[in-house]
Amino acid sequence: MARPLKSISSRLVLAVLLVNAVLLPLLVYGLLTVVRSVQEDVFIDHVRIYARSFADMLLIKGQLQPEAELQQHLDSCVLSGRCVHAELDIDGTILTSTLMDSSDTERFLEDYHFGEHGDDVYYLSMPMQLGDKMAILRLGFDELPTQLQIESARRTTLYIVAAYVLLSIVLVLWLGSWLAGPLQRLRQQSRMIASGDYARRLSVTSDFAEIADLSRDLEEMRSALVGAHEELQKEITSREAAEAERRKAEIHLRHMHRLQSIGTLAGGIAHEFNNVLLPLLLYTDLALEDLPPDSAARPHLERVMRLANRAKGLSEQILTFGRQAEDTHKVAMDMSPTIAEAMSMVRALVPANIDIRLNLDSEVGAVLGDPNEVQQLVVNLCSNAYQALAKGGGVITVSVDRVTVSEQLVKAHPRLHVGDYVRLRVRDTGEGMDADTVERIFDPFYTTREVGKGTGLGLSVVHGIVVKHEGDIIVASKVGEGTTVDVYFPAADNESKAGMEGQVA
Amino acid sequence: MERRVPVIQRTPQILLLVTMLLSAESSWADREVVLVTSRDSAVESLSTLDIRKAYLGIAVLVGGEPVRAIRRRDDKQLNEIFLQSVMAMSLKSYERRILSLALKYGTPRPDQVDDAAALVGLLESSSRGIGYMWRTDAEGEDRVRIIGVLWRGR
Repeated sequence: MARPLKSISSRLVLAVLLVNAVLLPLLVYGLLTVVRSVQEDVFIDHVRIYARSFADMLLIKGQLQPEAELQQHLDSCVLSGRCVHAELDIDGTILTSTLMDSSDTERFLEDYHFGEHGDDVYYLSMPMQLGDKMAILRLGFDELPTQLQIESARRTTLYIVAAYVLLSIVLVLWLGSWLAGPLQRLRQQSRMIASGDYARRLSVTSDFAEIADLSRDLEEMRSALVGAHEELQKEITSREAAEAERRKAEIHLRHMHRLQSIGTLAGGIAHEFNNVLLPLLLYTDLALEDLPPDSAARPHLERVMRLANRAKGLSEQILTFGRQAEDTHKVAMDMSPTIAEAMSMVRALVPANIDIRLNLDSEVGAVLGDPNEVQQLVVNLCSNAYQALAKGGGVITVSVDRVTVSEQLVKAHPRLHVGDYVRLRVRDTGEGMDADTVERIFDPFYTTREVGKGTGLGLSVVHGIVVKHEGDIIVASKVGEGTTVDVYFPAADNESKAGMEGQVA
Repeated sequence: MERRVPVIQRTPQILLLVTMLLSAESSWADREVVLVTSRDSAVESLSTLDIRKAYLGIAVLVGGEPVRAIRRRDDKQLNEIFLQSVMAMSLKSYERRILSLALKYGTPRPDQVDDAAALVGLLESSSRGIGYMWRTDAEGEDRVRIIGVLWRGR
């Protein structure tokens, strides 16, 4: 069972009360004994000396004074209040002056200690030698005044002791508060730190070296703990960021693999489809050459020819996505003029209420690429951006700049490498996309538009072009705020440098 | 609960106590304290003042020689009577006075003995020695002579 905790003040008060309870009775008893003893000794000395002096006074040259004068002296002794009984015994002749009853004085119990017989009178006898004879002076002194003095002294002593006890308790309470104050402040500060206020310093001033040392040690401990806590927080944040990047890269990689698989499958189908289409086109063309111009079948064959060509276009787009097309001609090209040219086509496509802003850096340098495909990429991206804008219009911003890809970006997008890239950014202020949509936008035939209003191949083609150019595409979108698409093309000088390094290796 | 003993059952003890007290009083009442010397002492008599002087260590000359006061410590009653009726001071005052005189003036402290036999022995060895005893004791001792009565019980 846990012991109940007590405060320093209560402990001190308890200790003082305990000490007082043990020592004070002894002290009081000792004091009262001393007071009583002193008073009694003073009384006894006084009465004995007085009695002796009185006895000596009654003698003149060794003989007693005349009887009348002796009686006067005895009366004077009693009347002056010095004694309550005076008696002189001269060989059986007794002279008496007393305030007592005769029954009280008959027995005459001589006292040798204060209050010895409990009669409140101290009796003593004083022998007086008269040659061969002997007279005895007997005196009785009132003990009551001395008893009252003793009682008064006792009461005063008790008052002083009571005052001492009260004062000592007050002093101990103050002392306890003085001692415990810094500790309580230390406790409050510690609790605030424990509740999360790590920046609070533990600082308590005290006259006691032990408390000051404790405060200093606790502050050092707090500083060390806060430092460790901050390090730990940084480590946790860093690990969480790394984990997020790893997860993002994993998702990206899986997405790429999926796109690659889809591309391979679609490319295979498109290739076989082309094998069917080419004879169809060839023989339809031959049939059209053989038909007379006014043949009723000509319009039908021409329709077959148009549809077959459209199918061929679709097939080529699928091949582009699946990197199956072989007609890519990469050259060192300047991005800004190429994009500016593509944008002139875009301007012709979009309505006037859509604001197109160009921010093309002319110093971005060259990239190795196919200008036709890059232009197709720009047109497709802008077309998507335009589709995403509301009917009321909006802004499409196209910019080109040169950036250096960092290790951090490479971790999230493993297709990129650390080095210089030319970045094409297409940003719209449209309705934006959720995360699920963003993940699927490069899938062939995936579209958010109404049925029949899009093939769902536009961004698939864009993806294929980017892959062919050994770049990467990063989409950032937020519902209600718009979408930003960044396309990274390796800078030509960067690539040639990598190539040269490869040759050296 | 405490069992109270009837008073009647305590009567024998009470009677015994009263008897003892009365006998003690009677033993005090009829006794005398006397001043004694050796049988062949040069001291014939001393006044009360001389006795007080001698017992404070102040020189009292008899035949040109100082009186030697001998105090007894063994008999408490005897001492109390002596201090009250002769010295007229309490024991503490008496001892303080003795010490004070010895320190200030170099007066000799009175001799002290612890029984009557030792007192008699010292008196025999000194021609000017004085002591005090109960009269009954003094009368039963051939080697001492009574030279005065210091106190008489009523």
